[in-house]
Amino acid sequence: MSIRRHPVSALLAFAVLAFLWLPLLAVVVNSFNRDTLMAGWGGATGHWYNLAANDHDVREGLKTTLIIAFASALVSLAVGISGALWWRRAPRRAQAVYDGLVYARIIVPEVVFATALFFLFVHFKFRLGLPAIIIGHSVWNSAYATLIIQARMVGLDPSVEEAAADLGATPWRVFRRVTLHSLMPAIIAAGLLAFTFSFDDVVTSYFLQGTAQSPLPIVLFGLIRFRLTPEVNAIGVLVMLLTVGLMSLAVTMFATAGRLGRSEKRAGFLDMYRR
Amino acid sequence: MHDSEIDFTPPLALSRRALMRRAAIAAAALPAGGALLEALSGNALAAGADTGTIVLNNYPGWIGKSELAAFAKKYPGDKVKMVTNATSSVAEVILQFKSGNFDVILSDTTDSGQASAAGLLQKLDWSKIPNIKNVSANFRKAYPWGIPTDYGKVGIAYRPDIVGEKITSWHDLWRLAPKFSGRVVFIDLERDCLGSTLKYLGYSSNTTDAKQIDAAKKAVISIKPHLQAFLNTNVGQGLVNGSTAIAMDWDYDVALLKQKQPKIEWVAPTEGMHAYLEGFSVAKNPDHLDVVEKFLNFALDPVQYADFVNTTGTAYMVPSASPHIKKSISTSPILKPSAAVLKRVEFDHYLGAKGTQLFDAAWQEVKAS
Amino acid sequence: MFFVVPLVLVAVYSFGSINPVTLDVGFGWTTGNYRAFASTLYLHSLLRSIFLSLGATGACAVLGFSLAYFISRQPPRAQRLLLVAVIVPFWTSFIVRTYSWVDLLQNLGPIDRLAGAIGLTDSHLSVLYTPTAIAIGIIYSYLPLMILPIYVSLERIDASIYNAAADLGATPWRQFRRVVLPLAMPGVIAGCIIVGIPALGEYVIPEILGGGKTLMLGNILANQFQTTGNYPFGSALAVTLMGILMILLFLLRRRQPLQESA
Repeated sequence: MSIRRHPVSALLAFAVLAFLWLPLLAVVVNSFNRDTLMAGWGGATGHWYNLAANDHDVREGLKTTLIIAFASALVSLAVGISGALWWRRAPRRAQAVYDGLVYARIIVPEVVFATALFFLFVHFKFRLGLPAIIIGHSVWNSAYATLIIQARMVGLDPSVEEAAADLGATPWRVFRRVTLHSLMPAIIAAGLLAFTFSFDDVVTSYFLQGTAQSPLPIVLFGLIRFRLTPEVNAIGVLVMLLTVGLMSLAVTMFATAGRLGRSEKRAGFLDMYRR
Repeated sequence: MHDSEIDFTPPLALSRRALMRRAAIAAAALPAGGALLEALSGNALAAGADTGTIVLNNYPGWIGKSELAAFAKKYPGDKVKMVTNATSSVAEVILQFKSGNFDVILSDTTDSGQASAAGLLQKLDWSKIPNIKNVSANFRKAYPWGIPTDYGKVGIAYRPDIVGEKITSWHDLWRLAPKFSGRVVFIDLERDCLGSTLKYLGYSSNTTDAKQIDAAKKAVISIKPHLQAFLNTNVGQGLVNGSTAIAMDWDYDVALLKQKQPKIEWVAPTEGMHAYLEGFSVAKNPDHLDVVEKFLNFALDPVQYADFVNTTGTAYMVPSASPHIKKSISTSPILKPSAAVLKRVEFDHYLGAKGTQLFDAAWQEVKAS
Repeated sequence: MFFVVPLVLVAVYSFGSINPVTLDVGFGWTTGNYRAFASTLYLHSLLRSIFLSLGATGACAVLGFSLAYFISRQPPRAQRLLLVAVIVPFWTSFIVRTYSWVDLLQNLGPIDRLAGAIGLTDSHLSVLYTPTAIAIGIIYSYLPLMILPIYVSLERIDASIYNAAADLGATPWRQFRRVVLPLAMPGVIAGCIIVGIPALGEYVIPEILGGGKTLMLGNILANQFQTTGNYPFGSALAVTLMGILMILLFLLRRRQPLQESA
């Protein structure tokens, strides 16, 4: 009787999943609520979606947020991957320092770091705005990325890479075909995490935005200053749908590229055994 | 067995080269993209000084629906770019004045008072803003740094059918709270909450007397066990379905709630009310002072001001705009109180460094208890 | 590096003094900020924060683990689908989600009515605006952060290990305790760090779901930087907090390599 088929774990898992989706369902339902105050159910209407889609601030804010989130995820992954790889072969002391830097980035309360960065930028007359926000996000996003990738890397068996190297593959090839593939779940997880963090971030974005268009979370904050309306819920739903759409697009593009390169990859692997 | 190791075919074929390329592009594109975005969004502060664009920091939607478009039409070449990261936190507002990024900022009496004390405000030449005479005198006096735009009183809203008796004063609220424990809501803002409590105790809501502030603190702490919550959004919402019986709330919020739930009653307490008064203040040395002056003047034009009031539903202060304002607002006893009620309203002021610290400390203790 | 310099600035600020009017920071060298911190008011809030956040983190770990475990045992296609299902709700905005909990948890709200209908309680649940609500909010908001690292750790466990353990006659519980748990540990620890630390500094959730009645460390900190503008004091708070956390983290990290080799 393997633990794999244990029904209890499945039940618990689905309960957690339901927990995760409950607020989302509430948001979706309320986005159609005719009652402005959402004090009860006022009947269904698509009016709020109309309002949300035509709201200039919302559209611009969404655009801004998406750009920031994508850019920050990419930068964080780059830093995270290269850092984790370096760390693997680094001397003990350097590892400790690097770890220190990673942890430090995580434990600094966001509001503290955001303010400090703000003062710094202002002092050195560095222009606030999108680049500043992306930098700010990437600093802590890359720390999370590093942690996740490291957690995965710790369990990697170096003998596979050694075998590949012994069989004549260049370090580059080893990295591409072996290391990166084995790290892939961590990379995906880290990238998703970084994107999600940036997407929802209020504090850092607030301090570093200057006069640029406010990212969406800040626009929303302002909208609910007095009251939460179904429009805000509608915005939430639209935003989510859009992001899901974009993500699927990205994944499909990569998957197609992957499939196209698949046959080539199989042959390529055999190359490793040749010279 | 060997297959499970080699066949790692993931869905994303991210080769290292592709990754580096992408990272490099991203790194290079960041400043370029950022600059491009800013240029596209019309941030012409550093560039074109002859285009006459000023930056206004405001809450989203807190301006007439067609006000900015009408301004651009009336003064070709001049534009108001509205940025929406206004805040109710003093420190952030001060930073915004200091940053030099904004020309005009929505700021209440306390924030502007402090900004003025810190030397961050631009002194305005009122001869260039003749429409200021449209604003009632008492409001002008209370907001001398820029143009006042709106105000909000903090009173009591309750459900007479649930409470069972008439509430007319803050004393009534404090008395009835234990009976409706867990169904009383206060506002989660330091000045509004403590200010109202000071009114309850018969003091000025702008006092800097340590003993009085201490008394107010104790009064709030004494009622805290009976409070449902301190809220700063949807404050009176629970009144609609009855989960809240009594609330300390702003006038415009109650006016809106009453439309949904006619059973809600508004009370202007006999001891008096604390109120905020906000308006547009100008940061020191704006790039286009003349455009700023034109905009401020434009905003107080009766038709434009009415547009603002109709869009936001707030209590207002330009009598000549009344004909253009929706009846539901201009005849509302909540939003347009009688002179007798207005006399009992006290706007908040900047309390100076010491006073502010006393209030801050008291509020922290209230929240921590 | 963009990270170190702001930190140094924060450290320097913590010894400075503030001009309350202009909010300019004077660079005197005073320990006054640190002394102010030691007052009982803040210590009490600090302790409450710690208990609430750590408790929520623990609960989050348990819940997250069960879902992560389940996902890791699925075929790859299903795994990806489930991961997406975990993340997608979080592409709504944080604010929208949190306020949605207000709606759900309030008396006369859906959950309260359900509890009444199935006879769980006579009167209302009254869970909104209590520390419980804050805990629920924290657990909810940080679940994906917990699930992802644990999943990553679990995923690399070869299926054959399970079969081997079963073949050798171990009960499911034994399998779990001796095999799965140790192998998943790096992920669980990473998850607890990623969740626990920001949870300590959380201030938005206590404000919204706690009704502003429960003052937590995060509120105090954010207050200094966002409302009162007392940057030196806030910096002193931050430095103290970070110092404590750094020490804890290094102790934790020391233990981890040892576990790996085992």
